[in-house]
Amino acid sequence: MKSAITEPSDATLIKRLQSNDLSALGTLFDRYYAQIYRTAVAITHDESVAEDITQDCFLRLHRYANRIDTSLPLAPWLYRVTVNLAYTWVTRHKKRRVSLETVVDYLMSPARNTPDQVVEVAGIQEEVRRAIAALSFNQRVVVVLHYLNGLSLEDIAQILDCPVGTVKSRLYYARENLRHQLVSIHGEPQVAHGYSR
Amino acid sequence: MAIPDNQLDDLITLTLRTQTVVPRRQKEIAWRQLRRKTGRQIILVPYAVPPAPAQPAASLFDRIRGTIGRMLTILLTDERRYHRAAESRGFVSITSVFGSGLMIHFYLPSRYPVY
Repeated sequence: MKSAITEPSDATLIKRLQSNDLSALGTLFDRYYAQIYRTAVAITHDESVAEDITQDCFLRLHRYANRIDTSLPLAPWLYRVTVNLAYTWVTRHKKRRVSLETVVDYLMSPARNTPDQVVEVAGIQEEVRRAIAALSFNQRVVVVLHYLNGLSLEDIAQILDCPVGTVKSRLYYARENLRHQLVSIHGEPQVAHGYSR
Repeated sequence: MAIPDNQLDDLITLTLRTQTVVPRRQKEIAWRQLRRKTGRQIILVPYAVPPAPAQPAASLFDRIRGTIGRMLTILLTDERRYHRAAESRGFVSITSVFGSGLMIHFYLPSRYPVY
């Protein structure tokens, strides 16, 4: 039997939010919290910062509810705010970022030197994670939006407000950097569990 | 040896998608914080769209200037009018004769040059 109750669309919820209906914000929060939080973590590599960014993102959704174009999908708007907030955080914490990079360098040293808790995490994925962390901000954002959120190059270009060619080029160089780093760590490709060569 | 494209794509996707677990408790706490903070902020009003400025009535001078402009545009761009004018044009030659002023000669155009 087909359910008579259908989920309200994002546009409907935003219109309700415009009249300060917080239950609409709650539904949108339920719908997008995990996606936005994961995106923020993947970009900043800091869970507490990612929590703040996600919180700020939804606060902005509330604050700017009247200024959001309901004829357009909401997800790109949320991603754009997330990326902008992450960028602000990265540029404001440049000093801290340098120390983070030092930590990344340390973590990228051979496995026998890493702390036990890092060794426990699945090896190859941990190395991919470190390699992603070592990418430049612009390359990392494109990689996260493309691979984590499954967005097309055109969607990413709209979110980042830049030409599709730029996104394509950033993705290409990001992949080359990742490939180079993974090969230089192992000398030959490692294959994740469940993935055949 | 390079990692094949599809393997690299799979590795990145798998890594990013399994990187972060969002515990239910964390989400609940975040929602409570968000509710508290939204109580302290106001929803901004929509962007005000400025009304289009009223067009002032065209003065007589503007109308005359517009008409002349349109006529000139027609004359300069309308091929048919140009060819009609070119077909019926007369040649005018002005020569200066010393002591007797200017002499104006009118003659019709000839298909062939006269030497």
